[in-house]
Amino acid sequence: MAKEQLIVVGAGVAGCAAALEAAQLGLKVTLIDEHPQGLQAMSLDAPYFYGARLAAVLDDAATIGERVLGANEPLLECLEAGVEILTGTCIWGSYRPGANSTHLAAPQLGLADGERSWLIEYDHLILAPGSRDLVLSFPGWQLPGVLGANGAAALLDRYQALSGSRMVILGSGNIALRTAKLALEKGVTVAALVEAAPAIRGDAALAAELAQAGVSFHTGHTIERALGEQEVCAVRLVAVDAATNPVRDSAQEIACDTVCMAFGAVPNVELASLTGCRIAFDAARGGWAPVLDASFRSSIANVYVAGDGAGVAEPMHLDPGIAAEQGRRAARAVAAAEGRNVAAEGEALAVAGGDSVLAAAGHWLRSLVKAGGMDVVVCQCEDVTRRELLEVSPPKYLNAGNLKSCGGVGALPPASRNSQDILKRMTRAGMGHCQGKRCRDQVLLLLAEAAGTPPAALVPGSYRAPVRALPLSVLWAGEETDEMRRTWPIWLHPVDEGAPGYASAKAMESGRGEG
Amino acid sequence: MEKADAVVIGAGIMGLSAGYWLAQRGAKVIVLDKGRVAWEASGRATGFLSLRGEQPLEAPLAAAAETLWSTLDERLGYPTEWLPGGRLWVALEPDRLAELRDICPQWQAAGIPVQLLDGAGARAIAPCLSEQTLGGLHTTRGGHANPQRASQAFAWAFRDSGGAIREQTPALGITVAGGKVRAVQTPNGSISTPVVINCAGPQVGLIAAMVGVTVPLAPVRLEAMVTVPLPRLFDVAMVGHGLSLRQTRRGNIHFNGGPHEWVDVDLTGEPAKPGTPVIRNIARRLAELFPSLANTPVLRSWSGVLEVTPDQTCIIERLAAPDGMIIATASGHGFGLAPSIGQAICDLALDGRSQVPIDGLGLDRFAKLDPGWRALRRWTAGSYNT
Ligand SMILES: Cc1cc2nc3c(=O)[nH]c(=O)nc-3n(C[C@H](O)[C@H](O)[C@H](O)COP(=O)(O)OP(=O)(O)OC[C@H]3O[C@@H](n4cnc5c(N)ncnc54)[C@H](O)[C@@H]3O)c2cc1C
Repeated sequence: MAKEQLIVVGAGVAGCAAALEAAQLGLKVTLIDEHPQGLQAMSLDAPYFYGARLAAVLDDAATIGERVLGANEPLLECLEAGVEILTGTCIWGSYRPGANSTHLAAPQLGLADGERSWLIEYDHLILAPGSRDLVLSFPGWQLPGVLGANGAAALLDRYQALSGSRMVILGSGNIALRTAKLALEKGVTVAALVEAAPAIRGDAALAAELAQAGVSFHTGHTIERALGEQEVCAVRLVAVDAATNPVRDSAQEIACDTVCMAFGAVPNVELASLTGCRIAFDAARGGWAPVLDASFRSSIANVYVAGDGAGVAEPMHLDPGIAAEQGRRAARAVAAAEGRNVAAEGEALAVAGGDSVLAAAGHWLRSLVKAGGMDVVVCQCEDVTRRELLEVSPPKYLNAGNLKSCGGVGALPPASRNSQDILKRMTRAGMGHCQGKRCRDQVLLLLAEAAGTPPAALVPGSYRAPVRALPLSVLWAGEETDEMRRTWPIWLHPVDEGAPGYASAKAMESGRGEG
Repeated sequence: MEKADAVVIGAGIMGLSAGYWLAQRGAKVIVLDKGRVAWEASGRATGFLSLRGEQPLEAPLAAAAETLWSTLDERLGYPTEWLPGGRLWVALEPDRLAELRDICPQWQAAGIPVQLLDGAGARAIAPCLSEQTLGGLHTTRGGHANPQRASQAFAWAFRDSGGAIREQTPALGITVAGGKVRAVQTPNGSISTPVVINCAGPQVGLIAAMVGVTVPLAPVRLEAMVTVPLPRLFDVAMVGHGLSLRQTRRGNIHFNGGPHEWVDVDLTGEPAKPGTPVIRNIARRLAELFPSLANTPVLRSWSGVLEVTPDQTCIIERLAAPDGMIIATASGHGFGLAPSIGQAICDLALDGRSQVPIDGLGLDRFAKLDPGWRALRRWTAGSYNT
């Protein structure tokens, strides 16, 4: 198996800066990025909420490849600096030798492109996977035309494939303002920018600039529903008071073909979590984020996390320099570990503050619940509503209406009640083909509210390989040895003849089955 | 000191089932777990009930479980996703087919109707099977359920009948006096009880050791996976090509098999349950078995740690000394047998003997077991695959 000195995952700002710095310090670097993604991967809303209306051009791999790679200046710089680059390649697994997995020779990553999967070992790993869209639901959110801010940015910018021309943006933090600016630059009309709170949350100067450009701000409003039959044609907004109660007769409709959920972004910790890095709640960094030292080293000595994946603070949405510097620091720490002569770092980078994205999202969610009610779907894949989630109802396909109600979230014993996984097992919210990317945060916020617990006290759902849904034929171990085929164990091992308690050794040998 | 008629150690499906049957008979029962309800093997199993045709000592327990499974949803009041779809073993290779021919008479001898099929016969039951399927062995008996939902159904029904579940409360010790168990010690104090039921899964040996009793057990880590939901393809629990698999009521193919790692467990910690890249080989086997499903996406994988006894057969016993101590472990097929094993435990606790036949499942069968048995079999922690 190939072994790399340094693997950097993610060719965004932080990943490219890390790869370039490491290459310039003389390290052998491999930089891996899942973009350009295939249409099938994008239609699973991973890693972003792209929504259900992807432009036809996305089917044209050559055009998209050119656009996505051509738009990435820093990636081209990395290429010139001798970084080995793998694009269109996702990391779906991360494995390390350790307790109860002692036979793995070295830490390794699982990679896949559209056709096959393979494994690589590494000495050092820098994860720079960026952020994920924080998604909250409202009636009509399943309609084509509804997407997330990260999804919108990717389609507008890198893929140049947003099939829409009139956008309503939900949220007013920096990610919302930035998306509005990008949309305007790309010729998309921003029909409204909506904020449930009484005031704009993000950068005042940028908000003023957008207002100048004609964007109308609807603070103290929430979305009652997205309207449309086949796809979005308008949104219905309603005014809300400071306690998020809808104001009577305040509904208004705004025509649009795109609704962008820019409630916030949270660090994409799936790979850090699979790798075994310690994750802890940190409100200022967007919720559950890896625990890192000043060099962005995780709880595992040779694994680093930089950029939005390390934690998303509000200022980072407007200043890519922060993520880049994090990447460079991680790269210098790796170089130092490899014996390169690296100048001592200056002061530790401050984790820039700003209010918690989860607190803002919590406010939004309360307004959405009041305007839309409890019978709004939270998990699109498995068709679970807010009410079904909190009542811990069995899924609809069981037709278990004649059976008992378990008494809801509140009736679970305290440790089960705090566990997103237990809720997921019982309701299936988060078990579907998007692997929970669209419902994870809303489920946690609803659970926190219902259980009367701060989010920090909840145990978020675990991440499982493959973190991208991969076809059997892709995951398929192509290099499987004859030896493995021959010795593939059939549950369990045959046991020696004469072991006590056997009717006969033969009977046990054929006692295969369970497991 | 808090008092109970019985304390169950372990909120896996076996302990919850035992607690449920006891509470049904009016006993005041507390179930302890060091972690969460069904967080270990019981929430990670494939979900088969095997009729144990190859093990005459267990076949009666399995038959009793089968009868119970068909009534559980109504009895417990919560869905278990029980699907009485029978079982199909399939062979893609001549050696495997020969083995199926060998086990056929054992199952018949156990009174379970089984039928040898050719490849076409097997594909008639599961049309997605590879055209290379050489044959199969089929029984309409047995079935499968959703391990997480079934375990939780027992937990809720236990609670509904007055039982108490204490999560994150490990049993740390057992007080014995005058040859009888008296109390279970936990970090939150002791619970006074005349009956202690040890259903601690892989930790059964560690709990038994608290009262000076040796239970030979080797824990093992296994991996399992699930695909996206598919339209209904088959109802049987299937075994073949190195996998165990079923299609869930939701439609996902849930499959597992392959190399497993022997591990050690400790009394209070959550055992590490890392996945490994072997899921690629497991996935390959599913695609070889069902070539037409090769483009089906895999959604997730997980692993679980379970208990294995030296003869891969259950241990169910009420000890003579100390009195009041009951031991129950099921060697990797405890999910399917849990309904009847729970009843047996309840009988042992309240009546001293079980109506459900458990003869021959006691510890005395290991009297001559070499204390170094794990090493002799290469079942010690870190051994892998062979
Ligand atoms: C991948 C996989 C597939 C399987 N497939 C099948 C199948 O198809 N059919 C089948 O019948 N079986 C199957 N099994 C086996 C089955 O899961 C187990 O036999 C069964 O779940 C055992 O139940 P249990 O309650 O005894 O143990 P567990 O579910 O392991 O529960 C034991 C509990 O005891 C608790 N505990 C341990 N120590 C302490 C302590 N000191 N204090 C308090 N609590 C403690 C643990 O936290 C745990 O919750 C499979 C297992 C795995 C992992």
